[in-house]
Amino acid sequence: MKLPDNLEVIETSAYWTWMGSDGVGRTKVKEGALVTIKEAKENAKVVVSLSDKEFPLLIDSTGIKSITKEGRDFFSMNNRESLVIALGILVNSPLSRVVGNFFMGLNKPRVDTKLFSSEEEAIQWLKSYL
Amino acid sequence: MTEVSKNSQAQELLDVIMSYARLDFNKTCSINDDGSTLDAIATGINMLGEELQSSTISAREKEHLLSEIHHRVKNNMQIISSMLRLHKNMIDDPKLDPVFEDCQSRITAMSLIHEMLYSSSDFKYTSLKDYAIKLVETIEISYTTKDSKITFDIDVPPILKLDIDQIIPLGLILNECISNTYKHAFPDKTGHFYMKVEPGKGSLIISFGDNGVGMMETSNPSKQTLGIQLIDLLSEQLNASIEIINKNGLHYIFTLKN
Repeated sequence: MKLPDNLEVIETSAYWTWMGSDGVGRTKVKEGALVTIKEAKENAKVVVSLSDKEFPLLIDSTGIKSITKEGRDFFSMNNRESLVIALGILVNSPLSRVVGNFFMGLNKPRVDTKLFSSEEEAIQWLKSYL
Repeated sequence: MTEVSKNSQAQELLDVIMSYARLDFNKTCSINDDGSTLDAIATGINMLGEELQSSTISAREKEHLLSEIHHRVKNNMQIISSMLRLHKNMIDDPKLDPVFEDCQSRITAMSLIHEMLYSSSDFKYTSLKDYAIKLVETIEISYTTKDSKITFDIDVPPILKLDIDQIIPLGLILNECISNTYKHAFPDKTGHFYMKVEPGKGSLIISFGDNGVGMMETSNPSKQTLGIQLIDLLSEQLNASIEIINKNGLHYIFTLKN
């Protein structure tokens, strides 16, 4: 997933995050990122600031190197309020596929979540929540 | 990545898996930055380790909690039993003594189960043989003197374990049978009783009996003692049929359907 030139991108220690002009939020993990609860909370704070209405979110986790259990639990959005109504996760590396499958199976996210290898298919699916 | 470093990473993955198998979670797999399949496997192993560690801790906490609950239930039952004893002493009416004593005995029968459960490994199942022996020993103290010559046999497969839903009603039934035997079967304080458990076809046959004086016949069901009524009610709860043979002593045969 490419960073946009014409939209405001918010950078945190492990993510780039922005709201797409199509109403789908986007967050991209930096290459080699080690995500702990600290990075997860930092990301959530930025994601929440993207809109004051409900929106679907596309996560590009292709560059991830690791994510702790606490981080995964936090991203599952169980026990916390969020305006995110669906998660599409791009998994284009063997490592991110493993992480994505763990997230789906063991952390059981509160909102509809699906893994994708194609960005176009992910966006198409997420747009159905708009 | 060279063949040598691939082998070394694979060896490390195996070491970590073996550590997790021993529930030692101090190790994690290192992840290189080449995006290889081995890195993906390493990440998966690390995450499985975290999940296993979390489940292991949670299971230990639950076990501890269960043990604590059984311990507290047992202690509370002992407090209730002590309160009954105090009331019995305060009321000081010999006619009411057996009522208080029977209640205390029934409470003890249940508290014994909780005591055995908190000492067990799974907090769920109790050995019927161990329980029956402890129950007899507890009741024996209340009803025998140094001149008593009452003997007993308990023939129960040592591997037979029952869960709390079965052992509580069955324990209360046994408590009635054993107490009644000590109270009524042997006026001269000499005799023998037995308990035998045999697995049947899809059932469990529990025989309990003595060679004492037997039960006085009564045609009026309302004259049945509370003990006998309890045995009937608890047998229903266990989905068990009862056969009572009042010949050469008193014998009960309980058939518990699986």
